[in-house]
Amino acid sequence: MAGPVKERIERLLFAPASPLGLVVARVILALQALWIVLSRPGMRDLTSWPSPFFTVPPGVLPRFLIVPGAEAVDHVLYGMLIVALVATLFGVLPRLAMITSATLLYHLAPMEAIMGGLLYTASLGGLTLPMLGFLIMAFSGSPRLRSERSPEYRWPLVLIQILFAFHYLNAGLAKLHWTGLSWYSAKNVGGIAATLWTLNGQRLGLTTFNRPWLAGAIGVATFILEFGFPLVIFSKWARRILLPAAAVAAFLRVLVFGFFFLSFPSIGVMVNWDAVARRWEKRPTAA
Amino acid sequence: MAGLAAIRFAPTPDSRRRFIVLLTAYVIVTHLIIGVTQKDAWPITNYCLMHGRADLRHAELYRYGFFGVDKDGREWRIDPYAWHSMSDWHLQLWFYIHFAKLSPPDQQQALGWLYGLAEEQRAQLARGDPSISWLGPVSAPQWWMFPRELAVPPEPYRALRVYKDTWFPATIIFDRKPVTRKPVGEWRAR
Repeated sequence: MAGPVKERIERLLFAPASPLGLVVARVILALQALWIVLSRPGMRDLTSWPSPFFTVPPGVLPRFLIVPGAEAVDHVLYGMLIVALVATLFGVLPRLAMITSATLLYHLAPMEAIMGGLLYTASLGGLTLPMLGFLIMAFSGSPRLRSERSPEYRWPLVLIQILFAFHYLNAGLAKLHWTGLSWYSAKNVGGIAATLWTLNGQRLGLTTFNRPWLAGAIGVATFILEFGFPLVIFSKWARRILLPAAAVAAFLRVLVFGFFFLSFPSIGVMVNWDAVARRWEKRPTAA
Repeated sequence: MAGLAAIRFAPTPDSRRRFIVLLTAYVIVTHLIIGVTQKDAWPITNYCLMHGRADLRHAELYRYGFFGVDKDGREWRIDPYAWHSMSDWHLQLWFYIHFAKLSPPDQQQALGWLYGLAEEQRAQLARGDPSISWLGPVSAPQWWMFPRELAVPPEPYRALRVYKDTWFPATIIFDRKPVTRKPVGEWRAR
């Protein structure tokens, strides 16, 4: 029993891989983080907000090195974060750039969620995976595109993919915990779409409510996506079906629920880039 | 961090592999525990949203409405992107959890601050610039997509008013009734 399991773990984590997947993951996560950080220039000013906005449980502010009134420092840190993310993107001093990016994201990314009062909502801001991914890559081998295949390029990527798979799996477990399997029923999915329509007025909210077949299809597809997504790490077929499905779901979420999945670029870290490159090399070229 | 450092500085290839397997197991197990118990420990987190049961008749919703008041007393709904990278949803949450518990001077301080941000954005919108960042139209939106409110008066707001709207979804969808609106606070420019 232990033999086959050990063999599978070996293959999953240590089968030699080309550096391409890890390099692409670094680029995708850096672009995603840059996109969000550059879109939120006010994050460097949040510590200038008056004290009533920092009514938080003891220990939370020191844990994230948040000092109300220290916006001058945060301006510098925000600038450093942009420089570090650009360096990460282009692979300049990658280890230093990624550790700096991860540390500064740990400080800046959760600030609005802490001030708002629910820390877990920091996970919805699209910066959690880049932060953890940079940390993992900073402590693993530095991939260069021309390097030989190595286990050093496999395990960090698999770890990042596992973290991304939990975006889906844990969202499913949360639904089971709070509502149960009936969350995925046509009645409930339609009801949620209609409820959120009264809040956001999103385009397909009432349409979904008024068409139980559509709400039912969304419910079934959501269940399959959330609980099937971890298979993408292991299975070629799961990748072929669930990655396009995840991309479509990210788009539909906007129209049906009015929710923008800021981590959607991370779907790209689940792609088998070696296979894409092989196919690209085999493509027929014009004579 | 400790797990990653152990991998980086492992003395032998075998121990390095052992640490990698242990770290992978740790990541999986902690996420599963958080997924099952729903006790969050960001950055290891439960990614929960829209996880509740829809109850159109009995689940009351709320939304705080922020309005700038012009010189004629007309109210203009403030754009959800006015709060300088604090998302509108987080501000809603802050009002829901904290505002009523604050002393009156603290409430005024908070409202005065928000007035300043709203007025800053009013001037920007009045110049015809609706962008939320340097990236312009390709800026990342907030994850909760409240509609944008781009209409503003040409002159500064004289006050900021906050209301709490509450409703049951069914009363809007089926009965076409308006929301129930209660004033929460007001800050007047001096």
